[in-house]
Amino acid sequence: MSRYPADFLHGTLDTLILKTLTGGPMHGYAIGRWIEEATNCGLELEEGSLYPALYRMEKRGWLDAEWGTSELGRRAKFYRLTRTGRQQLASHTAAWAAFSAAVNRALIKAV
Amino acid sequence: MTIRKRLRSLLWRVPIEQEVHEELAHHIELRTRELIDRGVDPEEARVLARMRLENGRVEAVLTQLGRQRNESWARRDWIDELRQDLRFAWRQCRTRPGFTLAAVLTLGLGIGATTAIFSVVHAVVLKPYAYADPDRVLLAFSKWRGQRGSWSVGNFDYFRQRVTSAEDFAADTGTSMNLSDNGEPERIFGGRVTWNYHRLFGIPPAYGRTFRAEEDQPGRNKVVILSDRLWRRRFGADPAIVGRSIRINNEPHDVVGIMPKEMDQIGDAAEAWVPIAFTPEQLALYDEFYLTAYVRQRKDVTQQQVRDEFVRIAQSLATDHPQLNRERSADVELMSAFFVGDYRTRLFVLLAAVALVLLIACGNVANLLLARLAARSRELAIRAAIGAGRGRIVRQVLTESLLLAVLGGVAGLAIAWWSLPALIRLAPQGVPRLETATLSAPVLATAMALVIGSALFVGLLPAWQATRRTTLTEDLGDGKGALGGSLKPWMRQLLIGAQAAMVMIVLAGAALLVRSAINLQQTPIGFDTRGVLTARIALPAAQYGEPARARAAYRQVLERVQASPGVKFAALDSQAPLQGGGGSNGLIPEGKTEQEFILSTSHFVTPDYFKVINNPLKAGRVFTDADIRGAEFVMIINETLARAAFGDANPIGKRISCCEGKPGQPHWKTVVGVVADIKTRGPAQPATPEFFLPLMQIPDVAWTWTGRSLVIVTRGDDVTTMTTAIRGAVKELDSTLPVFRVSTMEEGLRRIMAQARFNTLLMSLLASTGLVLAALGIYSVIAWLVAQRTREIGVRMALGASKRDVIRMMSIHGLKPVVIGLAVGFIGAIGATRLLQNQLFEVGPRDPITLVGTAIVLLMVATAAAALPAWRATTIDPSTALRE
Repeated sequence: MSRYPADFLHGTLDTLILKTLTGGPMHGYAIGRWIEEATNCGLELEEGSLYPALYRMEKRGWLDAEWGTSELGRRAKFYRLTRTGRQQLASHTAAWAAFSAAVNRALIKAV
Repeated sequence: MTIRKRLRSLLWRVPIEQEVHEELAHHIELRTRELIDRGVDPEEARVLARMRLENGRVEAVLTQLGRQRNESWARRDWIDELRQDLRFAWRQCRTRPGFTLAAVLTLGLGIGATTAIFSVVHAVVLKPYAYADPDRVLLAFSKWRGQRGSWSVGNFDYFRQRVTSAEDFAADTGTSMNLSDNGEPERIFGGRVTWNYHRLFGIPPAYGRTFRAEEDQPGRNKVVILSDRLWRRRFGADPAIVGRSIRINNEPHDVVGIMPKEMDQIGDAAEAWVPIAFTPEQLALYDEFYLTAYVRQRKDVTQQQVRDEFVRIAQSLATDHPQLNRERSADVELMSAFFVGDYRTRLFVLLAAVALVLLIACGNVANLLLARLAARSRELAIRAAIGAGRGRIVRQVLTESLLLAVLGGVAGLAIAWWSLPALIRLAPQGVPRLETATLSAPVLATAMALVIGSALFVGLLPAWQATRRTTLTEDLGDGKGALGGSLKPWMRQLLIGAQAAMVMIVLAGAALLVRSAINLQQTPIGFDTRGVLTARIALPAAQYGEPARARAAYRQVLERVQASPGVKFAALDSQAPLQGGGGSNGLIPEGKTEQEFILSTSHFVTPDYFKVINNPLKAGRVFTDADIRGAEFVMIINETLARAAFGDANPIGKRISCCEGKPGQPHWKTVVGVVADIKTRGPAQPATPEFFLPLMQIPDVAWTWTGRSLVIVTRGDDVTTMTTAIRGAVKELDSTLPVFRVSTMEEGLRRIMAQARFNTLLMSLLASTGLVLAALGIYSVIAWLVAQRTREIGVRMALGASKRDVIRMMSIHGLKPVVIGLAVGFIGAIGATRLLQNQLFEVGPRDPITLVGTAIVLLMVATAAAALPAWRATTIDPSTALRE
């Protein structure tokens, strides 16, 4: 993992979503809330970013969706991680770790 | 995988708009609640939550993305299903290797044969020509009394000076050349051409240049252009040969150019070209017709305009030189069309026949598949019951037939690849461009189309059958009943009926060709070909230009050959029977006008000639050694010429003018003998007027006409001994003289019959393949019908039906579609055999005996194929049959 694609930062949202779903199937709102909380509201997650990311990952086969019943007692679309999604998460996590380590090294180095 | 599929199909039930809308509505609901929980006014909370969806932009984006997602899934599912179907089809094929092998081989044979024939059709007829703008290259004909013929030098030159609609107007004449440097002297076939000949075809030379205008003049014409073939064979493909000098007819010629191999496909396949360089005397000759003329028409004129101009010039020629040209006209035809001519029909007929056989083969495989499907009706019913769609089942059946067809296609390509060289080798000589037939890209594309076509043809009926929904209970009820329940016999009966019709057409065509071949074989050619050997030599002008020297040389060779052991008789002839080529003269019988001349084939022979080929003398005498220059001028004619010249009167002692003398000054020769007509051009060609002159009495100029080239004809017991004798005698005269076209008369006869034999062989092969395939089809259908009705047969036999009754019942049931098919095929055959017309000899294309005979043979084969399983049914023990 020595090369970083141009949309690497964009891809971090995908990684966070994948990470969120390791806890089990969730609907879109819950995913958004979890990410906001986990990052201590450091990220204001817009619906215009979250849902397109979900649909794209569904198309790629990283996520599966099914209709279920939400806490409101209403029909809601639940997303779950597929095997491909898990593999993606693993590789993204490793890439992120390498990337942030590299940035850190640069930041603490005396100029 | 399976879970994902199931989920997907559940989601699919919701249109994408609804999916997105519902998901976002749920989202807003939760967001609103959260805001209310935090103390925001409910009304405001709802507005705030909605605002985050950016006025419907998010919904629109998601709908778009969702659509893309669904499309991508559909594609992936389609591929998944295809993979599944292929796996299933492959398993099916592997579990029944016998069935698979039969189907693949049947299709392979059909596809292979069709591909091989198509590659020939493509090479000969369809492929673009090697020369530039083939649509503008025409052959020009000099027409005499409506018959197309060659050009005289005078006429050609007359046209050349006047023609305006042609960019180039060129002529050539085939000639043999002695090549006598670089080792063994060799006789090659070359062309004497006008200087613009190569330019006309627009093929640039591979090395060097083409001729220049000034080289096309006597004295400056000692230059030569080599063909690719000769250059490779004799000069080791060495480009440095350009500029060097080689010896042709014992005279040095400078090699100025080498043509690429595209040039080999044009016209008469000359191996080298020299400028024709007409002398002023030749240019004034209007009565020797031996030039072939070519036109490259101007871009801005039509072929009809060229033709019109040629006719106009011919009219003015007739006015300027009425003596020989009063009845002459001119015509042009596209060169490619002319050369392919007859082969176009022949090859397309062959292609149609082979396609019919492919259809018969497909019919058999379709039949096999239908039977297989019947055995699987239970499985198909279950599939349908658990939700497999109609389209899904059709696709699965079609995938299986496609797999079989692809395997068959691979087998077919192997067969085509292996059989094509054999086909080319077997084919008669002279089919233009045949040797260029390969499995080229267009041929492979056609093979692929054949594969797909056969897959559809083979799979469509079974696939359609499979979609017929029956109730589950009917199909599951009872193994035996299921067969009858889901598969009606008419489909398979339709197949064998169609096969019968197609095989009838192919078989009728083959039968007509076979009858023609037998007729040809049985037609006497009028002389004895056994034990006769012919060999040609030609004396170069450089040493033998003086007629006296040529005469002496031939006399010496003939005497040596005659004295050799193993040679019974030997003679010389300017043009031996069955060997092709030769010249003809206009003969004027005494008492007729010069316009009433009879065009007759000329033979200049030595006295023993008639003994050598056993040509019976009908009246008068043969030549003797006393018939020389200075003695009375004599002539022997054949019966056809005798009738044409003198009717029923006795021709002996009558006089005919020919070959010498000038208009108004006849040169009489007395007819001293009449010989029986012989078929000098093979049994299919009627005898034409022919005349014979004593070789030692012909005028000096005649030695130039023949190019001092004569055929040595010998009769003896052993070919090798005679060949040695001839070669020895020629070598003794001049060791640089090649002996060429050594051939027995039998070989000549075989060569002439090769075309007919080849077509007959191929058609018979195709027809018998079709017949066997159709018989197999009929057999399998009846066998299946019998298997289905075993119980019924048992009951009938238990109730006292005789074996005969059972056989009759079962065969009639199976033969009904065959008879109907035969009737249809009979009508089809009457229409189709017309295409064979010009390949038939002494049998009409609708010959009733052949057609009815073919139908009877077919019916007999079909009856046998049907009776066999029916008979087997009767061997069943009734009690066993009932218990089943």
